[in-house]
Amino acid sequence: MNRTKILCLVLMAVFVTMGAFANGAKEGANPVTLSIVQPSEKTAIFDSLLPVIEKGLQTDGVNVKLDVIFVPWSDLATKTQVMLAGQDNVDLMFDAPWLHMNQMIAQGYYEELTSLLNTYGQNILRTRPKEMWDANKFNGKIMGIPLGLFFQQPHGWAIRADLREKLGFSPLKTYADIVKYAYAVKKDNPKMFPLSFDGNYSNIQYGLVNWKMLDDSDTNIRFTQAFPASLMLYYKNNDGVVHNMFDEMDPKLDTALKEARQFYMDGLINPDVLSIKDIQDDFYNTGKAAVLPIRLFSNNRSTDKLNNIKALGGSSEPVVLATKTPGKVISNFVMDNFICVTKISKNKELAIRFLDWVNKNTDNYNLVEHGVKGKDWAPVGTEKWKNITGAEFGWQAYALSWNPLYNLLPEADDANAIVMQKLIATSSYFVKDVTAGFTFDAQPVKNEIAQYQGIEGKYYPALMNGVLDPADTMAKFKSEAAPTLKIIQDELQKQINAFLKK
Amino acid sequence: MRRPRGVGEVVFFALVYIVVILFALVCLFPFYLILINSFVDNKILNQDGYQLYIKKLSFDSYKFLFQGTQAYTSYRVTLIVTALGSVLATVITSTYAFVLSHRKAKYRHIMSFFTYVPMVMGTGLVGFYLLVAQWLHLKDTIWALIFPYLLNPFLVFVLVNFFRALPYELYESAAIDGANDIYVFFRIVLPISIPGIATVILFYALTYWNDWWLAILFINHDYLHPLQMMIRSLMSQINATQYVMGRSMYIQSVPSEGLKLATVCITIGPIVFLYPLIQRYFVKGLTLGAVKG
Repeated sequence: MNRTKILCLVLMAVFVTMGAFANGAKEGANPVTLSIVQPSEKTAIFDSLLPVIEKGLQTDGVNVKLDVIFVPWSDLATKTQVMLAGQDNVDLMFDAPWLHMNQMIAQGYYEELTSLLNTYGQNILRTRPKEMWDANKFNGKIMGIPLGLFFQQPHGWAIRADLREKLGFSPLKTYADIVKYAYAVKKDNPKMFPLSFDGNYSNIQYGLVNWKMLDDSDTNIRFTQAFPASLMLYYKNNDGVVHNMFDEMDPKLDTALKEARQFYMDGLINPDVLSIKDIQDDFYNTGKAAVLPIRLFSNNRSTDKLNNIKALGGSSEPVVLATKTPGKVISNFVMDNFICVTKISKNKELAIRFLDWVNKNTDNYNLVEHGVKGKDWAPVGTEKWKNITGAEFGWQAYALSWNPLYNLLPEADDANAIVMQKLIATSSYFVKDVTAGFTFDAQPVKNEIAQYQGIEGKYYPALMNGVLDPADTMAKFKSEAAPTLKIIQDELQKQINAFLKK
Repeated sequence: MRRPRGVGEVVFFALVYIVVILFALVCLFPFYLILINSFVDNKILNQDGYQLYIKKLSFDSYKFLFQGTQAYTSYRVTLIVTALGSVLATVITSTYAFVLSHRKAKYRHIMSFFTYVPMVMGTGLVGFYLLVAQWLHLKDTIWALIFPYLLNPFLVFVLVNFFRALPYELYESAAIDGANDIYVFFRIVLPISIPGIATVILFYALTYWNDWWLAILFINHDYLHPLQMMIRSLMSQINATQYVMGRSMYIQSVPSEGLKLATVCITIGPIVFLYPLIQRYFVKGLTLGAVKG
C-alpha cells in the first residue's frame, strides 16, 4: 500500500471518529442566541453581568445566549419600526403604547402570547395580578408582557428642607402648607422663584396644575386615554363619562388654574417657565427654586444631585400628599412598558422560557435588576437593597422584567416612602377604573388629534403654569380648538360606551 | 514704479479691511465661545451662562467624554470609515463621471438616466434597509457604513460637468499616441481635475464624518459605533434622565452643558484641520485657465 492510500485511510478514520463523537454529543449543545432589543444604553456592569445570567439560564436548562441590542431613546421609534418592517431576526422587542405598540400590533409584528405563557410562562403569569393582565390586553389579547412595579406612578414634591427649617415651618403635610411655604420663601428670598414646574409641552405632565391634580383622591380628576398628559378631556369619579374642560370646567380645575395664575403674578413661578429646559437645575444646581415635582415618594435618589444641593448649603426632603387610605384612588392598571415576542422569531418558546426564568424567584429577578449579590449590591433587611459598585442597575429591567411582586426598594427610602410604594404595588389599594382594559382606537380621529395638539401646544403649557390669564386664554383656546376637541370627545365616549356594554 | 494712492483710495481700502475683519470676527466668535466654554466649569455654565473667558478651568466635560474606551473605539471607526470611504467613493465617482462625460461611451445616456432619476425618487426606508441588511448581509459590518454612500449622484453630476469642460482634443491626441482610456483618465484627466476631485473628496469626507444615520439603521453593537452615534446616544441619555425625575439612583453627574460644547469641539476639530489642506486646490482651481497663452 503506498503512502497516499495509508494517509487517506488514516484521515478517514479520524473523521469517522470525530463524527461518532459529534453524534454522541449532548442534544442542544449549541446554545440558541436570543436577540433582544432594549432602549437606552448598557449599564456599567452589563458586560460582566451577562455571562453570569447566561450561566444561570444554562444551569436551569434554558440553553440560550443573549444578544442584546441597545437603541438610543431618540431613535427607538424609527429603528425598531424599521427592524420589524425589515424582518430582522429579533426575538424580544421592547415596545409601549406611547411608542408605537398599537401600530405594530395592527401590522401583525407581534405574537399573541396566551398559549405560550400558559405552557412556558407560569412564573410570568404568577408575578402579575389578574387586574394587570386584564387591563393590559389589546383587543382582548395578550400581545406583550406588561412591565411595571406599581399601578400608579409615584408622585411627590421635593422641597428645600433647610429653608423650611429656617422659616420656622413644621414638616409640610398639605398643599396649603406648600403654598404658604412658597410664599414665605419668596418673601425671604425675592430673587428666588420657589415653584419649579415644567412649561415644555413635551413634559407637561410636570406642569403645576397637572401635578396638583395627581393628588386629588376625592373626585379623581384624571387624564383620558386620548391625551395622557392633558386634562382638557378628563374623567372624574368612576362613571366612564368623558368631560371637556371647554364645556364643563370642574370647580377644582377652575381653582387650580386661577391659583397658578396668582402664583405667576406673585413671582412664585419663573417668568421664563415656558422655555426652561431642565426644571431640576433651578432646584439642585442654582438654588433658585424651593419646590419641585418628583416621581418618587422619597427624596431624590441621585447622590450627585443631593451633593449639588448640599454644595449650595441646602438639603431637600420629600412631601407626600397622596392618601394612604385604600379605596380612594382610581387606577386603570395600565402599564407604560411591554416586552413583546416578534412574530418572525424562530425561538418563541425559548424567549418566554428566558423571561419565565427571570421571573422565577427573587434571586433571578434581582440578578437581572441589580447585578451579582454581594458584589454589585447587597440586601438591606427584606425589603431594601443597597448599591456596592455604584452602577445604577444591572439590566435596565423596566424594559425587560419589572413586576410588582419582587421589587426591592432603595436603602435611602424612608419609612413613609416604603409604605406608599407598597400601597401602590397592591391592586386592592385601588378602585378599578370602569375603563380598565379599554384601548382607544385613535385612527378615526387621528387628523383631529394632530390638528388639536397643534393648537393645544400654544395654550396648555401656559395655562398649566399660570403664564396667561385663564379666562381670556380659555376663551381664545376654545374659539380655535373646541369643535375639534368635541369630535375627539364624542369618538372617545362612543368607544367607551361600546366597551362598557361588553 | 507703484503710483501713490490717493486719500480716497486709502480710506476705501481701510473701510474694506475693517468690514472684512469685523465679518471674520463675527464668524470666528461662535467657535471661540464653544472652545472656551468647553473648558469652563459646568456649574458656572449653568448658573451664569456662556463666558467670554475661563472663570474656572475644568476638564470634566472632556474627562466624561473620554471615560472608558468607547470614545476611542468610535473615533477609530469614524477615521477608518472616513478615510476608506472618501478614497473609494472618489475613485468610483470620478471614474463613473468620466464614463458618463465621454462622448464615445455608448450607453452613457441610459446610465445617466439610471443615475439621476433616483435622486428624485427613492426606494423608501424599508426598501433600503432590506437591500443592505437582508440581501447584501452588511448589517453589523463596517461596510454598511461605507457602501451606501459610495456613489452620490449629485457629485457625479458635478464631475461630469467638470470633465465635459475639458477639451476633447486632449483625449484624441492621447489616443493617437496610443493611450487607452485608463491611461487617459489617470495620467491626463485626473491631474488637471484636482480642484473638482478635491471638492468631491471634501464632500465625501464630510458625509462620512458626520454620518450617524447608517449606524442607527445597521449597527447594533457598540464596537462599530462611529463618533456621531456615540455622541447621539450620550445626548439622548442625558435628555432621557429628565423624564425619570429623580427616580434613578447613583446617576453620575453629567456636565450636560459643557458636554455639548466638548462634543462639538472633538467632532469639528479634524474637519477644521482638513479644510486648509484642501483649500489650496480650490484656489488653484479658481485661477486655472485664467491666463491663456
